[in-house]
Amino acid sequence: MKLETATAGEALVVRVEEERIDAACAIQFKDQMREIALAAPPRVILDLAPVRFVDSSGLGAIVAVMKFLAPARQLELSGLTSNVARVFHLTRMDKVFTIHAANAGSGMANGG
Amino acid sequence: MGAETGLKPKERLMRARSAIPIHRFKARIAARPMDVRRLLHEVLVRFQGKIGTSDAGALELVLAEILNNVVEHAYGAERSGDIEVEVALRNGALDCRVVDWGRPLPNDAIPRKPPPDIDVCREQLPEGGWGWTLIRALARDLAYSRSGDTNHLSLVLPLSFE
Repeated sequence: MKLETATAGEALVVRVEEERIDAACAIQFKDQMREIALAAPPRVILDLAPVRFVDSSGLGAIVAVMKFLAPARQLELSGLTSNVARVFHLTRMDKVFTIHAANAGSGMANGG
Repeated sequence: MGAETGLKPKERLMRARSAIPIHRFKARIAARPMDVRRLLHEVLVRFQGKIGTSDAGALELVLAEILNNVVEHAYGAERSGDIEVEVALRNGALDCRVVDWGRPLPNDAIPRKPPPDIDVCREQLPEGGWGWTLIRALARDLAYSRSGDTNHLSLVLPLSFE
């Protein structure tokens, strides 16, 4: 699957250029994130703006990424579409993650 | 009718009094993740413009969780088989029915366990187990029955038209 990385200040922004993180790609997503994590700075922002569907397998994969980044690196989320935000809300995982309302990565870039 | 014998009396009654649905989707697929993904897309295309975008998101999520459960647990790695999915729009709600020929649900019942505990340290956060939590949060009238070697699951998804 397509994951675009860019640096924004001290953070690494990983933009998921896919419509979905679901049972069919959850393992692939974790594997690719594991590779990205090898050279990642302490702050990693997962930009989910293009993603319009996450199921419980996809959510589990995102949690797994947060766990293997820790304790040296922190995973934050941005760009949640309404369907994706609902999954985080219903499972209360919105209480576990730092979720940025707007796209934190591009916000920082545009802010100069 | 053989296909009706697995239904509980309440379901049979609900069917008898239901009006003929205006919009219906029915398909049979192989129980594999990519086939599930394709079916979800087809369902959304079928109901596009007839239900709201938020309702469509709820439908996709509920069906995905049910179908993923069938793929991973009813069939699992060592079995293969089909899943039949039927969705009908009637009376401001979506009636959904899923049939498979895999293993029965544990204790022949929809699991009643609470959602995974998230008030734990980060290393112990759950990486799954939310499927039925999400289904229960969005759907009502969940019913499961096992007849012979067949699992029948039905539910109603209320529509907000948002």
